[in-house]
Amino acid sequence: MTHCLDSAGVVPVSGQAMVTVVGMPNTGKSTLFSQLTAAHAHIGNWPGLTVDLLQAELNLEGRRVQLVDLPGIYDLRGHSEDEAVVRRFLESTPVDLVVITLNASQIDRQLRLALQVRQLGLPALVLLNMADEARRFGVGIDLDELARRLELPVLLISAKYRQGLALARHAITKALAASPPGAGRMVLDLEAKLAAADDDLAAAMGPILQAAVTFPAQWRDALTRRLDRWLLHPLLGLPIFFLVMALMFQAIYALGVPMQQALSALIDHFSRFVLAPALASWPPFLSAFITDGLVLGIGTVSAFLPVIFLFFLAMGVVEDSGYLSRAAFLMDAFMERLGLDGRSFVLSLMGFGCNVPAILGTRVMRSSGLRLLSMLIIPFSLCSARLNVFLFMASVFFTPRQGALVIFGLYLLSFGAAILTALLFKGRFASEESLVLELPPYRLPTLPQIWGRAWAEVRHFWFWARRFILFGVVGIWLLNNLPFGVAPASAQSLSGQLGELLQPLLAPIGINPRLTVALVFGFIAKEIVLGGLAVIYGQTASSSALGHALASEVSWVQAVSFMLFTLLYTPCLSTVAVIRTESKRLGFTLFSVLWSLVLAWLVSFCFYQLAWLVGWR
Amino acid sequence: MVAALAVEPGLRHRLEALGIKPGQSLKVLRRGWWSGPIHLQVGMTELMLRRIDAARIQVFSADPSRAAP
Repeated sequence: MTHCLDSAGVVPVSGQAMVTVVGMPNTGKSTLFSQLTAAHAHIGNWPGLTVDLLQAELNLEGRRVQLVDLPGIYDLRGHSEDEAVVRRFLESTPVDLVVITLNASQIDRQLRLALQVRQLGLPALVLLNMADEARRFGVGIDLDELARRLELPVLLISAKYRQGLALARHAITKALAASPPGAGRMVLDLEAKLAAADDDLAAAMGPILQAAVTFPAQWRDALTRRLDRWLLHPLLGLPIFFLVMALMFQAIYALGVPMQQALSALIDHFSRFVLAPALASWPPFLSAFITDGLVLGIGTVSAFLPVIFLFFLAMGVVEDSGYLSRAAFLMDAFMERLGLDGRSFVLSLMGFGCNVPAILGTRVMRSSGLRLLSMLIIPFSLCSARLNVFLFMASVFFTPRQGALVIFGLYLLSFGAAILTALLFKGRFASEESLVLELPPYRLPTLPQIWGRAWAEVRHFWFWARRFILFGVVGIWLLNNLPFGVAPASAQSLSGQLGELLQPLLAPIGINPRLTVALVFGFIAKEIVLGGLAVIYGQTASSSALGHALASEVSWVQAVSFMLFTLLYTPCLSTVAVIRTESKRLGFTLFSVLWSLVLAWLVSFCFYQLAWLVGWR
Repeated sequence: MVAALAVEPGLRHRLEALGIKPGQSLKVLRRGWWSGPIHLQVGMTELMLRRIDAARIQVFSADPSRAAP
């Protein structure tokens, strides 16, 4: 079977064996995958599958094989989207070897998946991961006995601490040596094979476990029990959680903002003292476009990468330590009353970094009502791109003390908007989905692990942002400088005309024509709002010059109204695109955009008019 | 001890994969505030479960002196 796809699409490579990693969630499967492949994986577009699978070429003692990481599943017969993906994959792709990854300390229930794979008749081997945890919790496994009873090779490894990986590679090579190239098989009648053996499965598990595994007489993970007593405390659990979150954000911005300022000063210097002289002989239109447009736009975003990196680093610690699932436990009662669940809360929290991965994360939900409602509230999470705008505006219009309060208020409003939205629309997107989540033991995250992940997230962000900045900067440039001969960004330019056109709508909320243009571009991405403002105000020399220009024309009340609108309306085009692809509904996507615009306008209107009545100017 | 699972097939698959099946003993570690989820230990696994779903798992007490809920 051969496939023909463009360069990005990856499928079986002829002559190379196909090895897939199958395992339950929470078994360290992705850690194992990245350790085996040294993180050279890329995302392959598999025909017929709607999700992206990680794939990498692996050199095993001279033989090249393709390694594919399948999504974590609980049950080959399960009903979740991921479980269907794995079934479709096994039915449509010839596989030479299945690497079954199990959490050694939970072999009492995970063995089931190994038995299911064996039932399919595919060549397989078993890697018992998290050997360190099994030892800690007192689970003893007789590997030879287990291998004999399963009739599969069994190895004990710890991917996190890189133990047993060389042996695992060797075992994969050996298992593959038995099958000639091109011997890979697709599974026929997968459902029927599994259904036929379902009852025997439970009966088969008991004797195997009894013969090969010894369990501790008592629960040994005293640390998790002790921590949970406090962290899941009925009264103290939530306050502790919010305190941890507050400290985390504090630390991120205490470290990140100085780094951001230093980097932005560096880029500024580069643009003024290196780039500007170098471009002096170019036509002024072109050189201005490069220095004021491109470099400014790219500079604004890259200055902001350290904060994003730190954010994902912190998020990685919270997630890998096991605390994130505790957050779901703590918040579930509240979220249930909003028609959501603990997972929606965790995803919204991730949305504070970037809305796009958070919306992708709703895939774990099966009920479409729950997914849609979660997608509707996630865009209200104050993402790091918006924070960038707010940090700047707050520094221009307020003292540091007031500024911190304003930012805190915006965070509260972000929660408020999400809660209001959920309450208003929970009836329309009702769900009956049950919630069963694992609470893994507390674990110490390792630095390479979270470092690698944060790095990948930043690269991903940069990839998205770059495209939008180019697009946005060119767009702003054209709007400001067309028709030919007008003064840039003047009332006669296209952007000036657009601003005037929208005045009847936006004047009541205190947004002047220039701010309007910034908002229009903020629709593409919040990353370009500041760069856009700089171009519009013709103050591209430095951010403090932009601050002065802004403050001389805009009152603080207008500035707050602008921030409120920026917080609540559509976060960016990529979020809209992801909502569209994930919900697969155009109507819902439009509704989501429209609702956020209406809410943004109403909130800004109320604030601006009230402030006016009170006499704040 | 779990006696029976009175749940739809999708949830039954998930529960069984997590170790909740007839004959298996489980331990309630805590109940969440404001009728929040229940924190359970099943074998070597800890998990959370909403009360509405937990109510569909029929159990009997392993300790004969206590009545089944």
